[in-house]
Amino acid sequence: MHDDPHIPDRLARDLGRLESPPAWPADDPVLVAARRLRGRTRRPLRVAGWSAGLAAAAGLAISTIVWFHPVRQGPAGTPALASGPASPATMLDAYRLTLILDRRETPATTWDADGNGAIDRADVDTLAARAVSLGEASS
Amino acid sequence: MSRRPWMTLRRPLLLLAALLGGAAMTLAAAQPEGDPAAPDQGAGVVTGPRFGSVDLFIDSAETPLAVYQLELRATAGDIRIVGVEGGDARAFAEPPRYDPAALSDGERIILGDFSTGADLPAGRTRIARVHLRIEGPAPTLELKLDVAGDVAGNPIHAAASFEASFQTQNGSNP
Repeated sequence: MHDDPHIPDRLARDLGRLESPPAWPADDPVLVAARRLRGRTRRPLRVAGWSAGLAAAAGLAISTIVWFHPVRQGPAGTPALASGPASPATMLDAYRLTLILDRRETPATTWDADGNGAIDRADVDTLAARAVSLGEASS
Repeated sequence: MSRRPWMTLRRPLLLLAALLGGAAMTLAAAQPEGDPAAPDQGAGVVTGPRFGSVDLFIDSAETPLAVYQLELRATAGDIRIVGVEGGDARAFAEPPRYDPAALSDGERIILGDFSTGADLPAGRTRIARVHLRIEGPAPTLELKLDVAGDVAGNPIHAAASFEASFQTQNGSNP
């Protein structure tokens, strides 16, 4: 048995390199160039990663909104009615409010054309009267 | 025995009378019985106020018409709107809505109506008739479609037109 094995000098030097910092200096031109190249190639990947994440988040948000707040459809598959009458009011507004009331939907407060706090057929008449009024219409 | 003077002229006078009679008959046969193009200078001339009507049409093509609003005005001439009737379609058979001030203002009116019924007209349909009182020369009318909509309350493309029926000053229809 060998209590003090003899290691060749060259092997001992190589083994010592494995546990020590790189043998070349930090300001070695090759090392600097390699680090620069590495940083240049990783930046687009980082930007692409952020973009993909943002797109995924935006898609998730849109899906959530659409899922919980779908576009309201009328009984005949018609698009949702306007949230209030136009200015100046037209006969189309009177008709739209009639549709809302016929469907027993809850109209927005902007439909309170006569300003009495209730939205009913009287507001339809008010809108229709405004629509054909010679004073309100643009001549 | 001498012949009397009138006896000597009898033959030429008879000949002249025959010629005149023939000419008169020829002229009478050549004269037409009536000329419709010639204005009657007598009782047919309309000189004072007169009345007429204007039929208003909307052509919504294939889309059923549920709601409309249009404006009729006179850009020239002296008119006064004296009445409004409904149209041909059942949905718009009742007189449309209008500002009563138009009957006193006279030269301009805005008409509008809608229907929630099932019998909505499509294509070209007469939606109203406006009655006018006219003085002076034939008026120039202008019709503008403000809005037209379908059963869902969406605006649609449509065309408005009118047909006037009133007497001109010489009594004929334009």
